[in-house]
Amino acid sequence: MKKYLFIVSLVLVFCFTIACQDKTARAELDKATKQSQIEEQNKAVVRQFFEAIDAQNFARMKELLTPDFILHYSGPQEDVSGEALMQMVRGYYTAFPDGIHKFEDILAVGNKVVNRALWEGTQKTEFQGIPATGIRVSFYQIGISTVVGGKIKECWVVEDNLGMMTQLGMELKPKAPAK
Amino acid sequence: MKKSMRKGSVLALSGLVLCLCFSIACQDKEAQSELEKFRAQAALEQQNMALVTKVFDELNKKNTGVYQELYAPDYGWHFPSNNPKGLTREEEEGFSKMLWAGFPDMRYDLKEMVARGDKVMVRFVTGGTHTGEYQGLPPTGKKIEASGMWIGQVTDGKIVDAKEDFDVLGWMQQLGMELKPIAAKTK
Repeated sequence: MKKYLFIVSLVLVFCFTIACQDKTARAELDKATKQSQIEEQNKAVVRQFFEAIDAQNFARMKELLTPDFILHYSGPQEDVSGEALMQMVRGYYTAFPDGIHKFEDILAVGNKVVNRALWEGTQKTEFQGIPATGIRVSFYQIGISTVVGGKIKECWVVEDNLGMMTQLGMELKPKAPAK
Repeated sequence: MKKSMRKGSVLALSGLVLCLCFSIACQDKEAQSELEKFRAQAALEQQNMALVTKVFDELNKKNTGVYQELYAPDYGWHFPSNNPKGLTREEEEGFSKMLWAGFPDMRYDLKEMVARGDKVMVRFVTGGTHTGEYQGLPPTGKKIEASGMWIGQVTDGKIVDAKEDFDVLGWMQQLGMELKPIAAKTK
């Protein structure tokens, strides 16, 4: 009888050891799984934001940005607030009403989302001093966004700005000396 | 009789406990293998980031050997990133040499790096002093900088593909260039 009890208790100890390992592994796995779910959600937030831009849905855009949102945009521009970004979008989509982002690469790590998108649009009205050309431009932009609580807090964007302007018939020339 | 019944129940109990053990161990195995996958992925991403860090470090030392050593022979550099025909690693080397001639102190400052799967993304600022000829522009002595984004793809420890966008317009404007309508088309 004692022998059986001994075996049973050994088996029980064995069980607890395994169960214990299982718990640690489970916890780590749960953490990794939860993280990848958040990353998927963050990707969706960034996608929805660019879709809102293309749809000119300013209310939706505002919903998807934190109040202290900052955009660091390529070129000599100063950092841009959410409001200023919407003004910029208005400017672009007035000139290019059919403007659209086409996602090619999107990846998420932690609270960061990287996206590379092709932007296409037909110039219907004057844009940055260039009269309407009817030209359809297409160029890529790469951005990295920080997503917090389902909203974009910060974003860095670099795009092929020279490529866009070249397609609109511009070229780089030495600046005329100031008179 | 009583004794053998007790013996029987002890046996049944140990059988049950064993079953429980196996079922837990089985779950554990599944969780373990899934966890191993996550860990292997994370380890690979760390290796890929180390590779990309090394590439930019070596470029900052103007070590052109890096192109042969760390880039795959069929590497393609898509710059700007809509360039469908990627430049070869030899062409990228030529491009770097052209930049270094114009900006001998040029360097990449890596601001942010993230890796997922076989992709590594870098946000960088490039800067330098324009003390040599660059794209037909005589040296201006200007210190300039601009930012870029780079998404590389790594296979077996080599960079096989890179998509890059850079604030070329900002870079050229700092050198005293400006956008003008193309003369040939307007006249």
